[in-house]
Amino acid sequence: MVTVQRSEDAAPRRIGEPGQPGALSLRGVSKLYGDVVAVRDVDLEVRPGEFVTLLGPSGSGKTTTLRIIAGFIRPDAGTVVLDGQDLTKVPPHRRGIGMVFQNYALFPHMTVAGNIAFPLEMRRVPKAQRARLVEDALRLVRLEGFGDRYPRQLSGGQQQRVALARALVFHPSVLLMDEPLGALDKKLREALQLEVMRVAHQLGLTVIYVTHDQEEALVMSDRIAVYSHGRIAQIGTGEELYERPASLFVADFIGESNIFRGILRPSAGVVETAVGPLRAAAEAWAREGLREGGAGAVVVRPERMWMRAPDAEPRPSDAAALRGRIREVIYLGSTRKYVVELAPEITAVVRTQGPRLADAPTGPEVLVGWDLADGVLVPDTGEETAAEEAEEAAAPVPR
Amino acid sequence: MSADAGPRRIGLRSFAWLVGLVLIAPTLLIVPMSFTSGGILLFPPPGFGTRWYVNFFQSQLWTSGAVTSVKVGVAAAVLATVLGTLMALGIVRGRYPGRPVVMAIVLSPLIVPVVVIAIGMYFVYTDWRLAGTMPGLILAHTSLAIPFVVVNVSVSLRTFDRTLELAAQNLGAGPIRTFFRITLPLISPSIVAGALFAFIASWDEVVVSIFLSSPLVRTLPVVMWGQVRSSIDPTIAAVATMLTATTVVILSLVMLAQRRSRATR
Amino acid sequence: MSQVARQGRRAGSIRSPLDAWALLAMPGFLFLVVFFLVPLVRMGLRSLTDPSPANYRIFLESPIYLRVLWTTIRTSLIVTVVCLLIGYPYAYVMHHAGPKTRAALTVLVLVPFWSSLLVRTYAWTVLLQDSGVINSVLRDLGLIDEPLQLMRNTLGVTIGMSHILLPFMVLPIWATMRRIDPDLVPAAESLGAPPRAAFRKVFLPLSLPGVFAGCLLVFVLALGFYITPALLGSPQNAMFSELIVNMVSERLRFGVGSALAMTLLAVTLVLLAIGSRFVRLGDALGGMESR
Repeated sequence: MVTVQRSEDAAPRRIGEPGQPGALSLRGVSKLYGDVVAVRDVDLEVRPGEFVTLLGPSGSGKTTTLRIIAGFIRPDAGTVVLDGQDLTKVPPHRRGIGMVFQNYALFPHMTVAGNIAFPLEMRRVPKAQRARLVEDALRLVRLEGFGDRYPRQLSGGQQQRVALARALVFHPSVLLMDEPLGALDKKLREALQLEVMRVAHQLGLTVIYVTHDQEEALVMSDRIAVYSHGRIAQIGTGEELYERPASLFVADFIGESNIFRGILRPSAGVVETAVGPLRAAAEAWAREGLREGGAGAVVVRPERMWMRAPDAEPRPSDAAALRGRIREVIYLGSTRKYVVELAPEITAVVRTQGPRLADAPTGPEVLVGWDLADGVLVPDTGEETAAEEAEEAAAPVPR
Repeated sequence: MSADAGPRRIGLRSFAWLVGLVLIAPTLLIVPMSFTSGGILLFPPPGFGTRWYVNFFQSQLWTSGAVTSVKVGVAAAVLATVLGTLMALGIVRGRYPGRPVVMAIVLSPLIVPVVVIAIGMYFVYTDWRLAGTMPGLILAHTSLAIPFVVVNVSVSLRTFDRTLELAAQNLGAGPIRTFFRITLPLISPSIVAGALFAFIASWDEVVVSIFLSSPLVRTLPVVMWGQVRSSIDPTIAAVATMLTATTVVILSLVMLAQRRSRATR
Repeated sequence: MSQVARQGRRAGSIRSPLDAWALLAMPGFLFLVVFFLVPLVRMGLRSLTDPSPANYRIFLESPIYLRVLWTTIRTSLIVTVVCLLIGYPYAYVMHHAGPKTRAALTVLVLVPFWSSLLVRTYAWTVLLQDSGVINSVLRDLGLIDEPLQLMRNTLGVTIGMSHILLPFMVLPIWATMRRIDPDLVPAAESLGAPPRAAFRKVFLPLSLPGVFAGCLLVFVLALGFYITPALLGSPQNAMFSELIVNMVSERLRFGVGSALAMTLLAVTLVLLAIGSRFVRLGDALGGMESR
């Protein structure tokens, strides 16, 4: 994961300070298109200055949510409240919320300065003041001197920054961004991620950011809301989502996971699975939906898995020690990935770091397992995993 | 985007529907009137019957016009389709100087005022002894119909995924076989559509035909033109109905061909 | 085939100005040259030699000819304006409608577009004449005693021509609207523009190329109209094409007729050439291709 230098901020970041504007809340927001549910009963509380990312496969409702906040789509139920004011019936042009669109939506017939001045013109800001504000906005995104160009004369990254300047020039307290970096290549995307964060932190903006790129979400966000089928499947910090996924979907969607489905036996402290009973720590059972005899799964991240020689001694901290056969070894530079077959059609992925190569197995027969503390229990509600949902979303879905 | 139906939108929508109605109303109104039982066109018709259709089929003037129109239309459509398809291939695929000139000449029949073409053709075709003959009409209509074929076929050639041809060659088909097994079948719906448009272009053509017709060789629109100006015979309404019906049938075929072409993509 | 040609060129061996594909275009090209272009060229020559270039002084001969010219331009302008006023909102609704409504509105534009001009003009005579449908209905409703003069005047010609030319306005405008990024108007609204301002400042300017293309096309096509003014107009407001036909088939002044035809052709081509510097006429054709 990338660590982010936040030292260049001029002022310390402000989140949720008294009197800071930009507190946004969605309550019970739903939207249907015919029979298709785009967004279902979404609740979201965002503190002023917070950076929240809506993450999910395409067609999961995140863009619809964003467009409901912006006012382009009227929800069938629920309210959107900004700083105590109900926005639900306010038309988009009176909401005063900044938005950056997926393909920037720069007006092609206006110059960069014209684009940035547009919201000021709409607010009847006097001409002289406009020019100064446009200059300020261009400086904010480091595009001084580009005011006279037309959007088509700019690179993708520059257009992106113009779109950002335009959305910020009228000092909104909330900024919406709809996959704003999706069209850019990886290097530029990473640079602009930092740029967007710098600007957002500098201005104390509340940001609602839509993406389907989980790494981007982890880098940028204070909190991430994972979407699935129009609902928020889980919301929390990146670490919470990765370490304690609340559902199979989230476990599968964020990062890579080994998922062992089975029947829950809290009384015995195990999950009965096709590869045998798997132990789980007492803390892991302390969550909702884990009934005796109910369906559940143990989720283990590949880098938390260990691998030993088949005759190694068991340790008390082992949650399981499963006999398997190495089917594939994938070299990934800093790590190595082993695909281990535990039973026909059941494989586990183990990721080891270089130094641990010392324990690397010599033969195809191995013992794999994990420590009690590294297994997460989730209820299995029969929902699809993220991979299955992504496949389904590949079929055209009306937005 | 915003699905809100404000009063302004409803007003605009009703306006558009009204315009759409006015667009087809005159043509549609002719249909019931052509079935009048009266001796002149009156609205509303005093009664209904098919006497003017019977009259049409009993009249040598009208039926010979219809026969001529069909012959000329089919011949011109076939000629225009062959020449136009080849031209589209040459224009879209070829890389040579002067392509814009070729394109300009192809499109010029759509742009040059039809009276100007008619007079020009009248003079020259008379010198060549083509005026007043079936071949003369066919040649004239073919040149007017070629642009429709070229435009249709070149659109489909431009959107054609050429990696399919590369794939075919990679799989062992030579250029000629690639063309006949891959390219031609995939653009054939647009060729069919082009041919049908070419037929309509000939079928509905009036002005050039007026100048190139003779009392012996006259297309249906020319006969109609003569009648419209001199009589109030309701047979004209019957003819108008049949001309429109033909066009509608052919347009439906075009849409069918295009739907199929979309389906294969 | 093209592969061969392309490789050949890359190797620098075949650098013929004509590649294999060009040969395919030849038969059609020659056909059009002989049966379409030669007649136009011969007519041009005739206008200068039968008996002399003095044919072009026809406009000085009598003020009638200048009046015809003026009538033609005026009628074409009126028709263009009418088509624009009707066509823009129509295209706007088409653009914003759901798929079903859009399909219906498209068919409503295209069916007349492809159905016979003569039939439609005839249909208008049935509607507009003194004993026609409109006058009959109005009389039966007791709204009028005397029939309204709806045709044999500029009104009739304008109605008929606007009806026929409307698709040429709607299709280019719609084609241009479709190319406007659908996020631009929401973007303008999110920046504080009320719907009306978003339309005026963003959508309208971006749709103007289509408006220009449509106006140019309608105006130029209107200049050369023959059938419709001949049936719905009167000798008092005859248009240019009628004058040409009259000169050739009634007065048998072939040289003068050729000169008039060449004038109309020249005006048409010049207008299109000027216009194509400002708008892509492909916009116009683009609309028609994408039925």
